[in-house]
Amino acid sequence: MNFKLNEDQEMLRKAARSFADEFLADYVSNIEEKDEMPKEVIEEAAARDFMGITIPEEYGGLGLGHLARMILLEELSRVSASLGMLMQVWHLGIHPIVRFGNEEQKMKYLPRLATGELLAGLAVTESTGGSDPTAIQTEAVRDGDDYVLNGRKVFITSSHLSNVVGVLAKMTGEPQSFTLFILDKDCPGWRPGRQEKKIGFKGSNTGDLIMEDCRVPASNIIGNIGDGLKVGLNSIGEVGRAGMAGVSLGLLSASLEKAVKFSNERTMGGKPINKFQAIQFKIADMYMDLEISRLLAYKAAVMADEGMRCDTEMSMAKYYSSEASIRCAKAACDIHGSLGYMMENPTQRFLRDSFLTISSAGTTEIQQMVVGRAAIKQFS
Amino acid sequence: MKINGEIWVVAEQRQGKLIRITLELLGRALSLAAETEADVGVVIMGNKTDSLCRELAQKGADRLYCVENDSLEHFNPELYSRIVSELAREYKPRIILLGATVQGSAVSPAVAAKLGSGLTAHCCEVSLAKQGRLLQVVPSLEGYYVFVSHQYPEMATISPGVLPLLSLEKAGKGEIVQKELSSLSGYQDVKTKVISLKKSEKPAVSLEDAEVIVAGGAGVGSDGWAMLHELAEVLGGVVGATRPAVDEGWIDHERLIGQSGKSVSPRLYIAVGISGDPLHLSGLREPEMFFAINKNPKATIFQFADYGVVADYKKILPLLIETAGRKL
Amino acid sequence: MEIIVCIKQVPDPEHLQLDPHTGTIIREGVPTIINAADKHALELALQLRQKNGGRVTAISMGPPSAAEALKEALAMGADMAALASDRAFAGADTLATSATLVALIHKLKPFDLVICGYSSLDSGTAQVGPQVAAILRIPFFTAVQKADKSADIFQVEVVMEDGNLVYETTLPALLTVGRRINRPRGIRLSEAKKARSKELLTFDLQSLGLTPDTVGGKGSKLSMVEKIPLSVGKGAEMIIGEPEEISGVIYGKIRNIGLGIQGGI
Repeated sequence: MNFKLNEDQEMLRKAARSFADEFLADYVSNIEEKDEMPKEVIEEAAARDFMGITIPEEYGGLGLGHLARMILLEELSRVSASLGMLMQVWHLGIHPIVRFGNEEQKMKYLPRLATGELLAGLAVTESTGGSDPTAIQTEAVRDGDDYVLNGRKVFITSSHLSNVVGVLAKMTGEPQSFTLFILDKDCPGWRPGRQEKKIGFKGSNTGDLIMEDCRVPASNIIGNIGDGLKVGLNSIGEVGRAGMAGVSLGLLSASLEKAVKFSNERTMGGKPINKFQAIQFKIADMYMDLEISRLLAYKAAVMADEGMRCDTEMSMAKYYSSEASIRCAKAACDIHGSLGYMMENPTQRFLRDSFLTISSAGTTEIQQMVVGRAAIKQFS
Repeated sequence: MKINGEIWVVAEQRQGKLIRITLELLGRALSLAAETEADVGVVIMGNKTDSLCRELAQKGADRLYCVENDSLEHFNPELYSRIVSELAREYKPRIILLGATVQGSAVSPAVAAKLGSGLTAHCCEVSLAKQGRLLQVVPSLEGYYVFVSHQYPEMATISPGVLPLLSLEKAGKGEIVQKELSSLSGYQDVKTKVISLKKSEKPAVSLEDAEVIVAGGAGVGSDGWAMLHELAEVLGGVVGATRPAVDEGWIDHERLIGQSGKSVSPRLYIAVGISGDPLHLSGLREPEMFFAINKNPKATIFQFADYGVVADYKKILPLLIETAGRKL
Repeated sequence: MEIIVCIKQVPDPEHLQLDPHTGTIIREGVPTIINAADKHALELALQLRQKNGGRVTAISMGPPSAAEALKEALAMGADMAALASDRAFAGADTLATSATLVALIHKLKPFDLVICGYSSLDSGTAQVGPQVAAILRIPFFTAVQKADKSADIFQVEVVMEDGNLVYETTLPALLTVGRRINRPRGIRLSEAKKARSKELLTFDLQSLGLTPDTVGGKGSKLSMVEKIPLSVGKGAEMIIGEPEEISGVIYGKIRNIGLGIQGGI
């Protein structure tokens, strides 16, 4: 067992961190204020090849895998969880094509997704809820060489930015036949709908996708008719949950760093407050939370890179790190006293952002069910 | 104590006029010379040098090493450094002082390399030790370092504005040593030609002459500078900055105060978010009133300021701007 | 165009702290970075390569760990790198450093251009560039704002206190650049991936053909004879209270010396 990142992984971290500290950091207040991700941030992230990190080299990507992606998301989210979230979803949208797409689909989309010319997305959730994909209402019906889709997806991250979106639909008249279609700009009849206003993750666009007699060529089906649930759930399980763990790691690091910095500067009775045990205990717990989350997340990512089944481990990582990100953001606010609650201080942003890590890619309760079932199966 | 060899100053002129640092250096060279019975030499390069030679002689220079040529109108790093090193090889001065200006900072290392001399940069003080060695004091983050050279000539650049500008009234020997550019060895090898000078369009910010300076440091962050400018404006002053703020790109380099920047002597100095290390404070000369605003109660700056405020400047400055800006 | 970029690994100034007891800088455990201006030097080199073709070689003198900085330069797009590293190089002043770098540059000949950062974040003397040029006997320009090659002419624009000077010269030449000349590209992951297969040469005293008395502390012409610790000032009189009170007191004191009425009357 080796817990040391290799030289390439260290360089990747440096690359991501220098982008985050030297470029992205300058935009954070603007992103918060305008609730928009500036075009130049997306372009710069693309120029640094972040979009194609999981795309195989033969399709213009880097083929660096899950652990590399985890490190990237951690570093981006340490400065802007909003960009981390968008990036995670762009990768999520790429996954079904990489993993289940045919050669023609890969050639058609992956090279342009790798450069950031196209942005991917994945749309499963509907107003019936995200945790039970079988309840979706979006329907597809065959018409010549095309399928015609009708329905509305909600709470879709990057709804207004993505232009290659995987949409889960069920076939009209076949209630159990779920299928994933790739919608792109050449498919008439789909558009973004309302944009949500969220308490956090400003600039990480969330909204509706509306399909009204949307024509999608049959060649845009990922896998076969009826494979949709498998494709969708595998993507969410391996990539979506991993991504939310990565975003949570970034939030955890940010909270810990800010808390330590402040506790060095703030004095009480002439001593920095981190000389007091009450503060040291809090910081110790935050550090433990970060390290535990990292161990779980990196382990799951390494398993994914090695082609091992890792849905339970991903669930553990996502569950633990997202809950920990809230605990630590709160602790960071607590250490700051009233200042922690003020808009001028980033700790309030960490707290607001951390709450969304719970509901994205499966709530804590869903992860508990996955982990619980796995434990019962293994130890029965 | 008597030493051998002259004490040299490399003069710097713009459009036929000496700049202030040259006179600051001359003043210090004269006082070092007075201690040691040495002569003071000045190297002058330019397209018209007569009046400069006269002025420097009247102000105390003993020997004027003068190289006049149309190609020397503007600074040419390759040519200027070759001239100074050739002159130094021939006349063997003991000490060479230059301004820590763009020109001095370019010429001095090249000359030192050609002569095999040691060289300090941005000194805030030079003086003579008992044995006659030149003590060169350089500000640093952790205090001041004092250096000596092992090799003559001893060379140092001195930051503009840190030495007092003395009234130099006693004429020197004023002997002029005129050198033809073409007579200097290696002149033909110089590859650099000056094509043009594009004078800067916006008026330079004059920190040196400002009565009021509001200076910002790392603690200001990226977004508070408008507030500092506003305060400076209502107080009739200008904004200065520390190295970290300039390095972050928050503010222009021309507003840098301290090492490798400007030295200032305002009446009122308001330091905002500045920790107060010598790299910065060595550029600040005795303000009449000195306020420091910093969130960190242990910031070094509170040892040097007249008045300290431990607070977030964003809470104080708007009120101060309002009060000072109010029409009476 | 064969371009050599000099890189220095320096302690990250954001992590430098003074020991409250001794008043000296705590150097242990401080993360290192590529000197800020050197990244701009590398960026200029990469842009010139893009336009004129050729190769960019990043070089450095430092402890073995300075290889990290060179690897980063490779990941940013340099084609190869070379490090001069030897215990004998420690304690060098700028002249001994320059002599070592020149020995390294001679190993990498021929070259058209050497580019350095204007000054380093840690010592800030701005001397190494001009000294390397002087030893190599090539033209040099400091604080360069623009540099461009057309046919055989190399044109350089330099920032002076009162404006910009434009020069023409021939190559080889040396430039030093500050932080306003360009915005350095970050590390592209695709470049980072290529970096591991690029060459990183290491030279020591012997392989550079140097002798101990010309390098490091022994080859230096300067010695530090004294460190004057931070003097403790008399201490400020602290103004305390609510922001309104504080601002009132400050303004009153400013008015007392006859300043602070510009905006009012």
